[in-house]
Amino acid sequence: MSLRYSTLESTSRWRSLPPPPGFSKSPATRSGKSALTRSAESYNSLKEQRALDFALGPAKSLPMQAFMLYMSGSGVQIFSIGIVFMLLLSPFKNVAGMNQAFAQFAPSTASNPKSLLTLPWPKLVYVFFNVLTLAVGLWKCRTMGLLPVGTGDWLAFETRGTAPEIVLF
Amino acid sequence: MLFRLVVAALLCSPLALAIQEADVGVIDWHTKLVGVPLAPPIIHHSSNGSVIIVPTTSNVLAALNAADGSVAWRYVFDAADGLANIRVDSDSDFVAAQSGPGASMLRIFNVNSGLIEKEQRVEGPEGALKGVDVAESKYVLQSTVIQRVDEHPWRWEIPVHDRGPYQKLVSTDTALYAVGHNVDSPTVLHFASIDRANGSTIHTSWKHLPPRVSSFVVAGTVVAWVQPESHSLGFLELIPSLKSNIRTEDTLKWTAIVDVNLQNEGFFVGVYASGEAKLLKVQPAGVIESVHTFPANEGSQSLFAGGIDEKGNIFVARLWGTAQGLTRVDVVTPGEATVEHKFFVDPSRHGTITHLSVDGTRLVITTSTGSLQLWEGSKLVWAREEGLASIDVAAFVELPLPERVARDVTGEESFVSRIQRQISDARDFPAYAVAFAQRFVGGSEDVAVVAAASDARTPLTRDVYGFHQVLVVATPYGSVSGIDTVTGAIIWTRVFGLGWANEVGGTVRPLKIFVLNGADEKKEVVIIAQRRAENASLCFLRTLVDTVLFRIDPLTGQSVFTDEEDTSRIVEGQDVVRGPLAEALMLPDSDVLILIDEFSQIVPYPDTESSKQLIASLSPSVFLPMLKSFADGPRVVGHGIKLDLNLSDRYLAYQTWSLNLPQGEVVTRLVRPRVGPVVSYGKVLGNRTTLYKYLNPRMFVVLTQGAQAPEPGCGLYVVDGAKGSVLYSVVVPSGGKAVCDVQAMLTENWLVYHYYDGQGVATGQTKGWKLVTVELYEGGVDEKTLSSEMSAFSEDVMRVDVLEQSYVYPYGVNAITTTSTKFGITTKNIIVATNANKIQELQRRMLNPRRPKDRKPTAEEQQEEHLIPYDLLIPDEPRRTLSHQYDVRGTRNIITAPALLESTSLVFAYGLDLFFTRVAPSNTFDILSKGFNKLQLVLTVSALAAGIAVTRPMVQKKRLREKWYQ
Repeated sequence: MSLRYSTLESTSRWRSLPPPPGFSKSPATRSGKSALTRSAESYNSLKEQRALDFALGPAKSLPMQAFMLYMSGSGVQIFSIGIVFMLLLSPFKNVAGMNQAFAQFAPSTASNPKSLLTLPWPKLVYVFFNVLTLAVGLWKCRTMGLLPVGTGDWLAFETRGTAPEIVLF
Repeated sequence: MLFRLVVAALLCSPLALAIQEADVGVIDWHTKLVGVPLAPPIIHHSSNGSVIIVPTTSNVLAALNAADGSVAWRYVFDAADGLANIRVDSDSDFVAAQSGPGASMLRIFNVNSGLIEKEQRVEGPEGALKGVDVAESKYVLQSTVIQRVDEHPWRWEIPVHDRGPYQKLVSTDTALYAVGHNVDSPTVLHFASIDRANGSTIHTSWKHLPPRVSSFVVAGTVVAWVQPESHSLGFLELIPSLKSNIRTEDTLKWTAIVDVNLQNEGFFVGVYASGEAKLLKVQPAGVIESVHTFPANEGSQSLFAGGIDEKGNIFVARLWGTAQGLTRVDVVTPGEATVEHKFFVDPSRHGTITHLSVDGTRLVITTSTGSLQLWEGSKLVWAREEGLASIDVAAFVELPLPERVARDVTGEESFVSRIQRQISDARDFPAYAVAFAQRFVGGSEDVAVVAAASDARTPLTRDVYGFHQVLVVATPYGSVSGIDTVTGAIIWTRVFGLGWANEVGGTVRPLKIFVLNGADEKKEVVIIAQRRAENASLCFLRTLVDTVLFRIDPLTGQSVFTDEEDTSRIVEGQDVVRGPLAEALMLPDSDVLILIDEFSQIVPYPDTESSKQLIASLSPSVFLPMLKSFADGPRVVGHGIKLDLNLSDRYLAYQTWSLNLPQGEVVTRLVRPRVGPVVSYGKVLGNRTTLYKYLNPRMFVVLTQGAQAPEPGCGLYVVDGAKGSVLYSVVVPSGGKAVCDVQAMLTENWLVYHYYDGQGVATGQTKGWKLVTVELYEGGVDEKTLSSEMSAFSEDVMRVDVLEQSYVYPYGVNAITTTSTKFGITTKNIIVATNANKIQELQRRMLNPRRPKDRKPTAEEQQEEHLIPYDLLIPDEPRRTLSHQYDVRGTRNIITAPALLESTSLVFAYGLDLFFTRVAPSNTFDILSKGFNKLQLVLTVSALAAGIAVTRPMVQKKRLREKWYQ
């Protein structure tokens, strides 16, 4: 039994290549078509498992990040700013590259592995945990006083007219 | 790189808050003054050199070094301890000064050191004194009581009550005489002779004098006077028995006699009708002999003075103005030839000469503008402008930009002429390049400014930071001066002209000063003054008091509206209001002044059609709160303005509101708000919420005094000027004094006041000076009413939320103000003049009424608001003393002005002394500190650039090779 790794990769460039001369495409053993399908199905479920694991990635790093945030304190310093920038940027970067990242886990049946609709559930989970990471980053910003949530943050933009009466002293 | 820069900037920023020693005399200056002399200065010689002793109108007794005019010592009397009389004991080195109510305080000063040898209360008679005198620093005369105050004291009182009072003490070897002169009819001269040792009466006596004898002179042991009706000289010798008879001399028509301060030597001067004058000497046995005859007067003015030099030679001098406008002084030494000096005292700078003192060839003169000058023969040795000790109004004026405009070329020019022009334009380039390089290497901007300012040839132009300005000050002695803020030197002085009152004489007293924008972006100074003519009978067509306006170029002192070319004349003003002035105000955002006369008519200045239109357009919305006197005392009255052609063709101020005070409470002072740009409409708290400032632009402060006689309550009201509504009020104790002494300052929504609390009734309270900080807000957290654009008639105007805290301050305060900066971004600190004669800066942070009491500030409050826990005492911080070791006496007012640098504010304190400095309340955040190593920075950058230049071709070569071989 030979392993055909290329079948694991739905996107493999070598999939459509013709077999070399004298090489039979069908396996030597008489395993039926059902066995082939079964193995493909198990591969797909394995891939889906892997996709879910990948989607849970941000959640796994979250405790560590939270601990780092806690340790970096509420002061505005180069270290805490660096962490906060990372926290704020990575969810956007992750979501933007989500289809690309999930393409490797697409089932071999998928017509377009890079489509948004392939693997919808792992992607949803992935987006959820990225939003969670973003929220943690924003919470950190708030504790550092970087979020304009109070009236004091908008005071500089307030304008006033002049009073109708003039008093001369 | 940026990081390095930031770190370098942080390291170099001034960490110390105090003034650096190197800055003393560079950023600040102090002019020590003594005040305008009350009487001719007395030149006293002692072993340590000659000093000039002057009692002054500023209540100061001072000794000036005759060599250079510096102040050897001065004693500033308390305001309640008015200087009444001084007497220099020429035999010993003592000067005696009588002061206080009833001249009951005697102080004897050492002439050399200025130390008080003796300070003693001398209880005199009840009631007002008719005359005080001291002889030999130990016999004290107070009208009817004579006391000896050394180790053998005695007290002599007038034995018979119709005798006396006495005005003069004459001490001789045989007896002590008191001489008094009663000007009521009948005119009587009183005498008393007293035993020097035990104070027993030897004799008392009196002589009838002919009527209208107004004064007498004592010389030697002779009392002399002029009988105006018979034009004869009467005199009488003092002998212990007082039995001598009056003798008269009537060969000449005597008109006046003059005391030349040579009583012990027996000299005085008699003037007779022809204008000639005789120096007279008292010989033994009471005979008067003429020593010298001064020829008749050339000019109108004539002053006499006498003095003794170090060697004991006697000099008598006569001063008069010659027909050529010079001052001529003839100095006479008995038995020697007359020495004549002629010199020029500029009447347009110094006015006329009022006092003269002489000592050999040295002449000390005082002029009507308060200038004290020492002339050695015909050469001016030094001059002190003592008029500046009583400045009435002062203002900072910014200098114009330097004229760096390239010459505009009209028409065509040839190639050669263009080259010539460009070469001449580039002439200054080397100097500019050197200055540029120097600026890069060192940071010594100040030194350059000082050097430029002390060079009289360079024109007055604005420096980079705007530290170089002109202070225009006007004094009650009718003069106006421009002072350089960098050096403290007087740039120019002009004497105010009297206009039509020139013939009758009079005084010009400045009331207000305004800085207007003139032509070509230059500033002009307008001084509004009150002219008081001395003789009203000659000018029955005009009123006695009227209002004059002077418009002056602050750089030269030149009058603007007469377009005068030369400044060597007296500056003439423009009569703007006939009669006294009620108020002069400036219309906002314009260069139009409005002057309100006694009939409430509004006179615009300049009186043009456009300013009339401006008044007409503003008239419905303008309100004028003014202090007006009524039968029961001054009151604050608000006015609107309207045009009523039935009454006047001018706009009239009509009363709209009046501040109702409790019965008997009178207004003492109005405190105008300090107006500046408002940067923030609220105060942001630690939790990012906002307290919105109550920024009513019509607020001002009224200080009042209550009715209860022994200890009146002192009221402080913050009033809306358009409607008269009271927004904040407080009553503070007067501190056991009969007069309230509350100092207050209002800016934006912040009020600071200072008073003395002498009660301390409850436990835990203390007596002492209190400083209270008050901040007005529109409401609680995040509540806003838009107070700054609200109408005064809106009901929300009264919605004021007050935060206040009071502190104990270690000093009394004579003047209080805030710093002011160009854009108002910098924190406003308080500047006070303390009764310890220092100018002190108080941090805004210390006066934050949100300082938490009985708890620690939260982390947010500490971080965001920089709140510090409340502490009852404002610590005495010597580092914040702007005047460091200077002794700044008698400060009456402090004015501040912005520089061009946002971080810095200029401060000028005036009173007796003048003091100028500049402060940076939030440190100089907009300028690199002096310690910043610019050279290193420049070298680093250029080294990096050189490195790049060297490595770039190498890297390129390497890349190319990599492309070939890979």
